[in-house]
Amino acid sequence: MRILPPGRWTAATACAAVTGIAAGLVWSPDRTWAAMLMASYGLLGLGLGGLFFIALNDACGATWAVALRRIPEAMVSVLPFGAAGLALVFAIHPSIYPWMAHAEHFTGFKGFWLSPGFFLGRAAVYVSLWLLFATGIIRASRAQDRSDHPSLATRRTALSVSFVVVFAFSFWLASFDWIMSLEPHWYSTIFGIYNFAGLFTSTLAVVILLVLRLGASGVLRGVVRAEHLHDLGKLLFAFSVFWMYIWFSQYMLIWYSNLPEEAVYFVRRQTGWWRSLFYLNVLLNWAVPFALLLPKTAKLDRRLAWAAVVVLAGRVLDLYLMVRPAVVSGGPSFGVWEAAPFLLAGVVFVVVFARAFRRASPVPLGDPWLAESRSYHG
Amino acid sequence: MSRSLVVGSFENGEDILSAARAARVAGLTIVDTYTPYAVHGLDTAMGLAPSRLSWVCLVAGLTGAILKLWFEWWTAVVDWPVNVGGKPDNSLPAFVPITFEVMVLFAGLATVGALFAVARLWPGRRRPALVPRTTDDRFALVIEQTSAEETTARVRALFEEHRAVAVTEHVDEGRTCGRGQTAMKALNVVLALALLAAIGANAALDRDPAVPARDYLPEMAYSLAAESYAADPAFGSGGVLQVPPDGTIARGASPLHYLATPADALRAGLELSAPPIDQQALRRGATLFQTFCAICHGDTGVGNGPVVARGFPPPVSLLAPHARDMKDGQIFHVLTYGQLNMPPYASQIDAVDRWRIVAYVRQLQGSQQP
Ligand code: HEC
Repeated sequence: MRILPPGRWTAATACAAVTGIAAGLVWSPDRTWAAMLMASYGLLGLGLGGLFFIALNDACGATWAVALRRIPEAMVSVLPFGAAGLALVFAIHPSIYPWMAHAEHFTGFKGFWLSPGFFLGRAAVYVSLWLLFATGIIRASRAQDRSDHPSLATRRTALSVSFVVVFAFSFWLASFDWIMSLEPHWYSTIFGIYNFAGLFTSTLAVVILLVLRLGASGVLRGVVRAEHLHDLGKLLFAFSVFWMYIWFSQYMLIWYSNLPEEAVYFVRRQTGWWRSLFYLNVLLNWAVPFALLLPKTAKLDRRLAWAAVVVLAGRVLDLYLMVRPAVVSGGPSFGVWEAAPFLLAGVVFVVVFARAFRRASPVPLGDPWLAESRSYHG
Repeated sequence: MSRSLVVGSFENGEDILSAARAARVAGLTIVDTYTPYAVHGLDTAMGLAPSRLSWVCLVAGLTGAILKLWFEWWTAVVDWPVNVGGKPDNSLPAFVPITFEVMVLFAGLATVGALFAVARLWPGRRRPALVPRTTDDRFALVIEQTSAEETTARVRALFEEHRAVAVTEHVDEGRTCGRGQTAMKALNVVLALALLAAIGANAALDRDPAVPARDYLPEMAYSLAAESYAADPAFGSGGVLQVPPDGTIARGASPLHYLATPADALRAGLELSAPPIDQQALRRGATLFQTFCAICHGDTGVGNGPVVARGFPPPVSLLAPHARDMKDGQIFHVLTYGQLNMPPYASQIDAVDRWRIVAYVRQLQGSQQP
């Protein structure tokens, strides 16, 4: 089975990306660090999204995706790498956050919340919690391959239910900390859900691309069925609409009340060239996938893959729009300094995923619902 | 027209699925299936064409969205433009939520309506259940006997091969009334009577206003803080609300010593003078004028606002000599205390903003001929 492109290509791409980043840190540190933040946060999101995908299915007793579960399971392995990228930004370039650089000063509770020590402590708590749940859930799943003890399934359900709750709170706060505090005077309580919507939509897009690839030519040939693709397609469609719904909820309330301290966020993103990107974001994340995936047949043919690719491009743009205007003044620009971190994140994803996927059997053999997932009617 | 039917009852969804597939392969005519819940995959097994309901849904949804968008635009831009917080009349974001709701409403109702129409279901129509237990735990597959040679035995064998628990024969005479119907009618009458009785009993209840009803969440009705108009236990005299000493003025307020009379308006004209106004303040004055005054006086001040178009007695033109000759302080007095048909604005617009409006009125007068 081949998931990876030939080794030398991978190595060459990784080298190019690392060189690009190094050069960027010398010549255009602000832009490069901003892109590092986006790429790490996006990579971490894919790992976290994979875990949430498993937990969501387990928590509501859904069995359809059991046969594909090793894919999101392997995706979880990229979580620590995303976290490492973030740690790099926090450690070497904390001044990306104006309050860290003492350009902004807050008092009272906000001052306490946005203090370097507490910020780093919180980040450590979030990531450890996620890793703890990831280990627990995946271990139980792997253990099922060797033992058919029913307690394993129960343990997975219990862990998954708790994770969903923990994830909701922790990721919400994490998005406040890591992204929203780039503009510390601006706040939006819905920002956490907005970030979750992007995280999960992009996760679904990646899961779909991997399912298509592994199902067409890889080890999952014969396991992946039209029913699976149809259901994944419906989820992608639904969550793209969900993203739009949340995007609009955030936008409309701020637009309507038009309070200066809230509206700045959108004013900044609607001036000059930012304006076109602002609307492109809506096209890529919602309008195009919506139109593509509306017919039933679209979820069963090439249009599914195209929709997934468009959503992924939309995710990159969405992250760019959240981070970049806050960090670097002036109009938008996308060049080597932005491409290199994303390229590196892509290489890391592919390599880490491939290794993790090979480490266990490609389908969860011991799961009592495997047969159901292999034969259900959608 | 009557036709004879063979009905096989099955115990679970898997059995009826395989039986339906086999029946199609054998070239039998499947009339319908009856199941207690939607069995996934049964539509393909029966060979049903993709449902056309989704088209009804799409078309109705689009129709609803377009109609509503048009209606929003018509009310907000054409028929009754009102300046809301300085936003343009034609503001798409404000139209989106209601457009979305109406789209969903149209799509939902039309789809359900179309489903009922296609399935020929309407109030009062009843179809006898061939196998009553399909509403509970049985799955029935109905096959039509097309020709004389098509022996029941063949169908029976196929059913039994797929673990049918019962095979029965029926003749469908196209009747739509079943037994049980009288019982249902009686039940409806009883329910209607019960509803009437409940309404009557409710109306007849003796509601004594002196007896308090049951309180849920009393914290909301009975405040812990003292009520403003209650007697104050601490002060004894007066109430919780104390009378302020003479000469008290509200924070930030500067009192005006005028009455709402023409004479005092003239006096205000002599005594008050406008504070200096810069460009930004003038722009604010313009926005306020659009928001508060233009509905009567019109955008230019000639007195042709939308309210006037609907029969409100037209105000005098602000560009006429009378208004031009008014002193700033006099206009300020009009805004503050009103004048005949024009209501006072002191409670809605503070003094600083009123002066800005005065400045804008002056600008209007300067830039246009009467
Ligand atoms: C409800 C409709 C209405 C609104 C709203 C309204 N006005 Fe008037 N206004 C009138 C009418 C009617 C008159 C004429 C009163 C009269 O007959 O003397 C008038 C008179 C005036 C006059 C005196 C003109 C004159 O020659 O005597 C001024 C100045 C004026 N309005 C300014 C304003 C400004 C500024 C606003 C916004 C704050 C405003 N009005 C809002 C109805 C309105």
